[in-house]
Amino acid sequence: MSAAGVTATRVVTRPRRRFRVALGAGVALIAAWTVVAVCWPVLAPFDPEAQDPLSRFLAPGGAHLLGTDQFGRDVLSRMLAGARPVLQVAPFATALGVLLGTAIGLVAGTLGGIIDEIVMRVLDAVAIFPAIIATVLFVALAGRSVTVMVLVIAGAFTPIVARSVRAATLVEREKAYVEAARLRGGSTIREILPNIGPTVLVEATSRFGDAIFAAATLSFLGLGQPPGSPDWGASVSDNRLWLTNAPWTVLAPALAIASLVIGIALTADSLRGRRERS
Amino acid sequence: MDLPGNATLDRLPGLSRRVFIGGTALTALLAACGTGTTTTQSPAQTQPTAQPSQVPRRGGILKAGSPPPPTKVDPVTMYDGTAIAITQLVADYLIWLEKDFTLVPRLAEKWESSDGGRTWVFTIRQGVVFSDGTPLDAETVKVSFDRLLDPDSKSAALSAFDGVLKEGGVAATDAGTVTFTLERAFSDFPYLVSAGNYNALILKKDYASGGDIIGTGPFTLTTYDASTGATLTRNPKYWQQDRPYLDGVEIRFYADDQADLLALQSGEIDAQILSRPQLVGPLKGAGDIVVDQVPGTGLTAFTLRVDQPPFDRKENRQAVAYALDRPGVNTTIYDGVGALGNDHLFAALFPAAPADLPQRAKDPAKVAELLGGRKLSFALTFDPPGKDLALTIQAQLKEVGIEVELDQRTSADFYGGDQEKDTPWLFTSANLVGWAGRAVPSQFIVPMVISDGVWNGSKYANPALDEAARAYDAATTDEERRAQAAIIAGALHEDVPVIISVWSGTVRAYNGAKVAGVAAHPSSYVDFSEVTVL
Repeated sequence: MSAAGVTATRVVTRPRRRFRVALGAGVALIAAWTVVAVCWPVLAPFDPEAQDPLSRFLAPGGAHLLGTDQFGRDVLSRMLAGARPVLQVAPFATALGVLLGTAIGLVAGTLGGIIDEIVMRVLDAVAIFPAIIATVLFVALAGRSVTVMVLVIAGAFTPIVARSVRAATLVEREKAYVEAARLRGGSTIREILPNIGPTVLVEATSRFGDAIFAAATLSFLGLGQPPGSPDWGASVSDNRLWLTNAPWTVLAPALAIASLVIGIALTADSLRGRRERS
Repeated sequence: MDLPGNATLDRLPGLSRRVFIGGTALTALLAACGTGTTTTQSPAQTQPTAQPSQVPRRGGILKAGSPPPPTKVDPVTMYDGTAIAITQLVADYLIWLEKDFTLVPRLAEKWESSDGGRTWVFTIRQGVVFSDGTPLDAETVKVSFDRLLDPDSKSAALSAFDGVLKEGGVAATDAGTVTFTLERAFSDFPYLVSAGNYNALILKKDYASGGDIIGTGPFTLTTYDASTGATLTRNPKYWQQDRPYLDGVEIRFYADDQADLLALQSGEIDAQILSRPQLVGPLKGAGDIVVDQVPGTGLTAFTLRVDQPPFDRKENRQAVAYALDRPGVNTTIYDGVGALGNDHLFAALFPAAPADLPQRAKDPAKVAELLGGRKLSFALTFDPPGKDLALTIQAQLKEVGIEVELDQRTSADFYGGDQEKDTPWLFTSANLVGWAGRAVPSQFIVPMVISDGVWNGSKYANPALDEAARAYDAATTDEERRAQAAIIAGALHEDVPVIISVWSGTVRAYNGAKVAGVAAHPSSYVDFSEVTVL
């Protein structure tokens, strides 16, 4: 192999290795938190709801590895238990938003014309309405529950996903295989859908990360989980008053949110990179 | 727990503990032996603030931090701590309420009652002028109270006077005497015209809501900005000789509790006006920050509806009361600053508080006996300020097998709705309602637990208690007052329409290396007339 050939191989190999490492790390983080969300009752050293007035604001160490909060509750146990409410909301909200967005974008992009115009203008109108105000109104009307959180987040994601899918559909629509399918009298949507799969996958992973943040934000604002929930966003909100005195009460749930979002971002970037290379 | 005032004692400049204690003891002895300036006095009435035995340092500016008032500062309608503090620096009351709930004559020199406690005559201090030179007279006092009693005034004082004094009940008998004619006998009436009724400031006759606040207080309001703060300068015409010691006070607004605390820690401010026990508690004894604390009369009523399941059964109410770990609530929610409640409405600060009722304590065996094997579960309704207490109650009751479903509402929802039919704070099975401190127990008892009380959320009806409440207000002797208090407290303790787990306390944090004389007050009131900059 010539020297030039070796250099070219390295150039191609290093990014691939980096992508593999990133993908592995991302998937590992997501998998770890998923296991925690399911198995926290076994993993948590204390009942996350149990209060102990004599153990308030204990610094990390000893029996309480991550310290205790203002009620004397174990911060580690609450961090582990907090994975479940987040992972109860984000995947379902992402799936629903991606499903609806894909359907709308695919139909609008494939049919085009006046239907495309109407659908996209409606989505523009929905997207331009401030999400947080819409959320507050919706929660005020429908009440606070996991289902409401899923619907609210999915509703916010739908226009974003629809726009991306429509753009990918418009590109695919002009290709010869779609024209051939059309001439055969077959379904063009059925032909296009598998070919925009990578776009949908990247959208799903990107929105998953956003959904984690959105769920945490809703809980932070008191619009998500019920009072006392170990949900990470709610924990950050509840403990921010003690940021100076007991920073560990905020850091633990904040780092949990960050680690899961980083895991998802690494996965999404790796998938996007793989798609671009292909 | 730090004793109130000890922090201040430790920080007085150039004054030894022995001299201070000796001086204080002598002053107390003289006060105890003296006849006082009043002819008929409330049991808790005392002389004006004792004079320090040493010439204090004069001059300097006190920088204090506080949250910005939510509305325009208007002494007639104000309800928030910052607005109350600003106006208390500018204007005066007929009577000041000391931190031990004794009454100190201010613009009233003395007062006496007649007609079995239905008529009260106040003698107005002579020679007092407002900061613009306008003399104070009885007519000005009358106009100040007429302003509060106007049904359209929207003043919180209206509810304090409800059923006791109404429009037209105040008369300026002569230039130095004001007569209050009450709707019913009320032995604690001086408390209602004291700082305990914080809107009862004496303002100029021509004061109109939203106008300049000109008073007879130790400072004058120089500048005010709703977002940044207020500056106050010494009132050279102040009636108390040689007061205040400060040249002025600068109040800076911090919208966030953390920012307020950091400002104190960094030296940007010298003191806080409204300190939170849980936030400043960890600072006790650290560096120069001093935290003064006093018991208070504020409470969060854990109200149980006695007219519907599950709390129509007295044993269920008692079981909940015996399931609570009150010291735990005090530590968790009030940072240990509060005092244990005993499920009646007489705080230890109230002179007639019964001392012989056994303190209710957590007793799981008693809970099991009272429940008799029945499963007890209920929904607890509250608004955001009650959230921490609700979580603690839920956790504590879970330990004895009582299930509590938390039902958090917005404050607008919790206190909204039809006040006669369905408002959550008066019509849910169990709820938490925060009550600010009151100067007299009747202000809790009459609205909260008498049969036709306007805020009787428990729907408790006990004719014997109703009669005792009326007799308490009309009592003319301490013995009679204590006897009626014992009946009321005993009934509430036994029937448990409301659970009072803890009486709140208050704290005030300040930099002990920079200022002296700053003190906590049960209602977070401010009197900076004797504060000195070190």
